[in-house]
Amino acid sequence: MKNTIKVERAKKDITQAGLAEQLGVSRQTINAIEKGKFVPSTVLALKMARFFECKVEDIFLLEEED
Amino acid sequence: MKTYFPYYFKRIGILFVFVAFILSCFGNIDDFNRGWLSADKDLPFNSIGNPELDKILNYTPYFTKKEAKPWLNGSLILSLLGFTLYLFSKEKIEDEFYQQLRAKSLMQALFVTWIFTGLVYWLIPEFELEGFYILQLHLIFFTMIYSYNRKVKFGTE
Repeated sequence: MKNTIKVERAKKDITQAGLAEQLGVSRQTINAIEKGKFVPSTVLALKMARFFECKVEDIFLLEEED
Repeated sequence: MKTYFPYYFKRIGILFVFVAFILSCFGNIDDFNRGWLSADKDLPFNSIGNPELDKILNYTPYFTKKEAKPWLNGSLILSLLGFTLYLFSKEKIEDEFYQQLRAKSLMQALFVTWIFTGLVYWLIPEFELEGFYILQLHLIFFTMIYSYNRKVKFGTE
């Protein structure tokens, strides 16, 4: 699964640490999600979408192998 | 995998493991010396179980087996408690990522322990690896794998 968190962060001009603080998770968690090593829960994905003011599917995109 | 111990229990866990290590050094001082002297005299590894070994090595032990037992039991209990506190305490910022990482590491450690224990039973049958020592080994592997996953595989540190 791909994601556009890095792009969305750049649009909002917020660091990984800043985003982590806003969502109540650790910076490592944001880093792992951003690198595609960890797939977040629906709750965390929805919180991200709300923070970035977009839909979940705008941030997380399915790939062929998914 | 959710955990409910507060973060500062990690520090207590590390302290317990440190004390357990010191107790273990005291309790095993004779075996250490025997091993050292045996290697010096080119005796085979399994000669540590030989009751005549002290005479062969001309070695006077510090403790009898009975005297060493409380040190070793204390060490085992403290290390089990210490590793458990360390591994099952919350991270500074506990979240779903760490919960999943903990569960994954626990399962990986279980497989590694099975393989390691099986190999030891098969290759070195005279090695006394049983009961709580296997549990201790599992916790040691869990600590190593969890730290590796957290800091190297999934971390940025």
